[in-house]
Amino acid sequence: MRKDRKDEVSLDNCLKCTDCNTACPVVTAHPAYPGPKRLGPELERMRREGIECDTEWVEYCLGCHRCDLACPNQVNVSELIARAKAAHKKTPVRRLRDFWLARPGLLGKLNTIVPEVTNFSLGLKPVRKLMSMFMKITPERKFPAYTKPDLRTPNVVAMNKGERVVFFPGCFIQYNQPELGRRVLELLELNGFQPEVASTGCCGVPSLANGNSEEAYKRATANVNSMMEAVNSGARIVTACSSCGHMLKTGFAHLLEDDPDLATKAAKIAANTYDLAELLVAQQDAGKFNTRFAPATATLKLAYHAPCHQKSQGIGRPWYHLLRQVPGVEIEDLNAGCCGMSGTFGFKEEKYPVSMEVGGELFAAISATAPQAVVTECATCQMQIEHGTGFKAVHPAIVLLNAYATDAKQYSFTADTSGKPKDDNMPSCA
Amino acid sequence: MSNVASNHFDVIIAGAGVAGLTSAAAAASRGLRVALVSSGPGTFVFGAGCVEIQNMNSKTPSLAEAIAFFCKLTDLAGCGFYGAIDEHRYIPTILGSFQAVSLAPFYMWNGDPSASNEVAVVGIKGLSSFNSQFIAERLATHASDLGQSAAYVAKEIALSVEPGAIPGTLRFGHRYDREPRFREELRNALKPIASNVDLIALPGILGLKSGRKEIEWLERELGCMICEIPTLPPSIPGLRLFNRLEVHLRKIGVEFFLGFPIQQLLIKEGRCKGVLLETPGRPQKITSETLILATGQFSGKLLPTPSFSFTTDLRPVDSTGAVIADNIFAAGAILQNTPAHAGNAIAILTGYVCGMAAAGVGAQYAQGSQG
Amino acid sequence: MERTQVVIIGGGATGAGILWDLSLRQIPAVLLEQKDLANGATGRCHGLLHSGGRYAVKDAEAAKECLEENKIIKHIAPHCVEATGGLFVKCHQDDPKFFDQWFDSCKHIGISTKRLSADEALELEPNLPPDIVGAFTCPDAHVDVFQLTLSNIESAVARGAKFKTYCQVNAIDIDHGKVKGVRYRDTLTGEQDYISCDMVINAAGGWAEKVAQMAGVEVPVRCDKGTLLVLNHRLSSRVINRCRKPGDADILVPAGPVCILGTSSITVPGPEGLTVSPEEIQYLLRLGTELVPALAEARVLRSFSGVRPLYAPKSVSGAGGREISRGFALLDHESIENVKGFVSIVGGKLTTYRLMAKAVCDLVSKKLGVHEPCSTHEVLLRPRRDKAAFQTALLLLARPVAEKAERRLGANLVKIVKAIKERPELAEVVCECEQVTRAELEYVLGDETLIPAKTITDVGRRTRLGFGPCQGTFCGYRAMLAGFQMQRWSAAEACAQFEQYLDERWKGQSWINQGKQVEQLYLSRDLFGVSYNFHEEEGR
Repeated sequence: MRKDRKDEVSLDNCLKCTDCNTACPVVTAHPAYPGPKRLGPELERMRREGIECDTEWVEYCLGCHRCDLACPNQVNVSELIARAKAAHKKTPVRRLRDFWLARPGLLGKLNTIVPEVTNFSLGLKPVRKLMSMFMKITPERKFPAYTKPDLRTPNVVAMNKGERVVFFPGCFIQYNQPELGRRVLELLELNGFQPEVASTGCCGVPSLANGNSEEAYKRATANVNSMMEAVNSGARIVTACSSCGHMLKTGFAHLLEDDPDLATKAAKIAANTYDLAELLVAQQDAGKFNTRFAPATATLKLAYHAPCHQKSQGIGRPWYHLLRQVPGVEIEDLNAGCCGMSGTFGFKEEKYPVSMEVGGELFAAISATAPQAVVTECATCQMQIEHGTGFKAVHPAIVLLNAYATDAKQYSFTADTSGKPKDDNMPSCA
Repeated sequence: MSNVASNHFDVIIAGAGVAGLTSAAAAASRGLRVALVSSGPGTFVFGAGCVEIQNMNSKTPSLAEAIAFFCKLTDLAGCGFYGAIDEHRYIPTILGSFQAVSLAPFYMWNGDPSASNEVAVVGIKGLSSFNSQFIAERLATHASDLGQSAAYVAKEIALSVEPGAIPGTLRFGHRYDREPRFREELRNALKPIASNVDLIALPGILGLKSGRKEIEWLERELGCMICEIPTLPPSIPGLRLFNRLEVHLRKIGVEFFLGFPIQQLLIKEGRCKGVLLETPGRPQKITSETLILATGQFSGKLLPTPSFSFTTDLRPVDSTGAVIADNIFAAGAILQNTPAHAGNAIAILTGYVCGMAAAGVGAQYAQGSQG
Repeated sequence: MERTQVVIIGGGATGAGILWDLSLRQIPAVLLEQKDLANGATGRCHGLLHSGGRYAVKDAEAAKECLEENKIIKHIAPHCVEATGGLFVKCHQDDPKFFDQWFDSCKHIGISTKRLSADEALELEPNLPPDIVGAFTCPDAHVDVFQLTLSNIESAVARGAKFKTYCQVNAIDIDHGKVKGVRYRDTLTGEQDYISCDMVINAAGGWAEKVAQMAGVEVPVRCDKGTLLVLNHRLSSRVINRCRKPGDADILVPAGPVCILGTSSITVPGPEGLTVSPEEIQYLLRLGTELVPALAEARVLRSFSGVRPLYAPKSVSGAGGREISRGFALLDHESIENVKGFVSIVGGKLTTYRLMAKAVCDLVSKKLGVHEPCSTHEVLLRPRRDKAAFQTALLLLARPVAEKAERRLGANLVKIVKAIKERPELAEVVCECEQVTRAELEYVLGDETLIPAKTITDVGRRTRLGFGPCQGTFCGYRAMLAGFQMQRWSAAEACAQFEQYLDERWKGQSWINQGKQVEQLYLSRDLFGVSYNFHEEEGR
């Protein structure tokens, strides 16, 4: 059954100009990858002719949306590939693996029952070897450490009376970086908001990336329903993870388009979702951005990597510009392509080499810049950068928060993937 | 502290073709805060941005200045153009014909038949869309039609191909950028040919990001001139020009919004306040003092009036002849009602003039700049 | 001097069918075609294999013929047919009395049909208007007209028949009221030649009147132009007919990856110099949108027109195109004008091409004293598919590439497979839209095939190269290089070929004055027209 008039039109827009292929990071990294033009619009025409077009290659699409941005004619290239991916037939082992990778929320819940045990076992070499054998998960990578999910809405009594915003943490912050979540809440408070934590689960990006649109549909429905009250009351939704943000802004509407009621809700959620930095810039335009920064005592040399799902939101480079205002910060926008991690992609044993090859250009750019830290708002980009370069990679919110001259202590936090969160010196010039 | 994060700009330039990039550079060079919005690199995926100055009066005011600006811009970006208004060169094409140009990037400029006596057209084994025999034969014919005596021989080299790959210009281009070993392999394959000729014409594969340094390295190593011939899309020399200019413009502070078409121009009481971009979730609003439309020949529909023309100072007017908004300027192919090819000269001229006008420099520039 | 028994003039489906029929009866024959095979009306129609439904109400006889031939062609040429099935859609604005009449007529004739509720029809074809009353099913199908014609020729040539393309007949030699031979000119080389023969069959379609004049007889043909639009991708998976009295733009046929909407019906002076106006395209789209609303936003790749050569003796000459019978006329000029050895076949439709060929060949056999009966209804046009070759192809090529190649090549797929095994680089896909490999391109341009392509457009008719969205911009260039590399053309000839090819492709798109195809056309022109110093004709 046909799903979307928009894609019908989008399919017709393709002029075969190949701009999409030239923008695709996988084309750069894998000599035999057929590229988005073929996997998307080209095969789609033939699928509608009834030709069997299933191919393993759709699994190699990173879902980075760079093809969509490169297309001069607004073909929904990545959406066409995503559908082919959902219809792709997998081997049983991969089915099992991708079942779990599609459900980080469930994984998170299970793994955080006793996080210490999880982290300990995931850190063990034999365990990783077994996962490689039975789950086809690369033993090259360390798993992110799990932490007790204790991210809660701040105590109302202690709160200011700012504008109500709802923070959508997403799985990574929920289960691996709740500390970051708390910093985000604090940052929001410092900038005049009254934040609360959305009682939602996974946004569904990993489900889509692993070709599981049913799971994604479930996630979208649950998320939309749980956030409607807040949006109807005029609250904005804030994300600090660019992939969650991208999903809330476009993915829900796509998934739910067949149900008019849910589609309307999804559109409303989308229209009211803001990336954290986007929100802060809006606040600055309204003259309400908190610039009471502590004076600089040293320079802090940072390199900024814009995650693909940040670029695909069309909001410019808000973090880059916000951090430039911090005294002592010297920040360079790397603009060196995709990191290659793509969420769960880089964990898959057979995709690992491609993942690293894609990241090559970024790794080289970071090494050439030699910053004190790389800032990027995507948790899996952080993992890949640390894995590929050894440079520390952190969320820009941490840097911004550390810059304020509050009585608050200097927070230390790192996304080190060694097994457990550890305190060390955080990038700060104060 | 001024709000450097804000989405308010001095000037928004819509379109990332030759006209858009030129006006962005011109405006930024005058210290303006510039946003460049575009739905993709567009036409750079074919061709190479060569400049023809045909059917244009070379005395057109500010043409020389605009051309000089463009040459300097491309030079700073590492993909410098050679040539001048009154120069005529002929550069080879994949049809084996010569395209008449006044300016061309340095990696194509030496393709003119007068510049060499012995030319080797070099194909690559497996790169089936580039047939050196065909091109050499046709170039020989056309060169003699032009009264030139350059001799053309066809050669073929073999380059290593990765498993599973079908040789393509995009693949070779990426490898030229990323693998020093590949560059050396290419040099070694060309070396025996280079000793017998003074020019090697090869398909455009010398990197999507490479600049003067990377390409001149090869020329130096070979000891002969090199001329790339852009192939069927993707044209690597065209993409290189775009990539180099983008990097350069970012460096001088131009803010890019790439990948998002304009949904609406925000025009109120004869002034354009900004644009709405078609972005995920909700339209992204960016505002500015001036808008430069360089969106190409299909973009007329963006303006509120269906059919439109332009004043001599490049402002769009409605059917009654009234200026639609006094802070909108138009540059490039949008100015032409016919699909005739502008050969980029008009794009450079009008792009430059609009960029200057946005900076409040010399409205007189605009006069008569439509060529 | 060449000598044969029968010369057939016209390389459309009918002429090809005659050549095949004669070869089965072991009558030596040569077919002469002024351009390429299937270049006239055959290659410029919907490719609809009628079930008879369209004629059920008005012309039961024609409907029966269609029904019968529909079954036969599905049997003898399965590789050319996609049995999509069809729907006759009951639109709310049309006459409900006609619906019942249509259903009863079909029952009466024996066309198998089933009533569908509106919901059932929409379930099958979601692109139908939501307010339809319902639909009927029918066994309509899509037939690949190029493959069908080529298969007839190929099979005939395998049995010793001959054909010459790009050979234009300029005189029919008649001596004492009897055909002696024909004089023709090879339009590619310019050489003149002569074939001596006993009989000439005029199967020249729209050109039949002109050919008849060479024999000094009159064959009144009314040229009825039909314009069709090719849409970028399938908007339906079945043939969609509008259930009403036949009119303009009321059939949409899924054909490979595209679908085809048509037609108009306009009387024109002759079969050449057909033009299409933007208004005509808008008119077709407007009408088509009533049947399939998605057409309003769909991308039109190109338009093309052909002429239905309708037999129009004086008695019906005042009637409009759709009033003249779509049946065919077999004219024995010996009994009419006393010209011995000259026979004309005119009118008819693609679905009944075999029946027409049979009628001609029965008459010709009788005149030549041959008693062999017709067997074209049972002899398969091509050996069944080569399963082993397909399995090997799957190892060498991506699945869609292999599948499409097999559909086009049938048992000849083995040749492509062999070539790719020897030279793996031939696996390259040169036409992305239609999945044509370099191996197939070289095959149709080479000497191994029985019906080699002589121009780039010929390559298209054999492989569908250039029939997709890019309209030959990229693949046409590659085909030119292949022809050069294989020494079919010199560099200069190859260039001229390409220029002619692009010009023809551009023309097919230039009537479309809005939508995405315009941008595609500009891209093509920017790429080759100006940047490459390669100029098209003035104007459109």
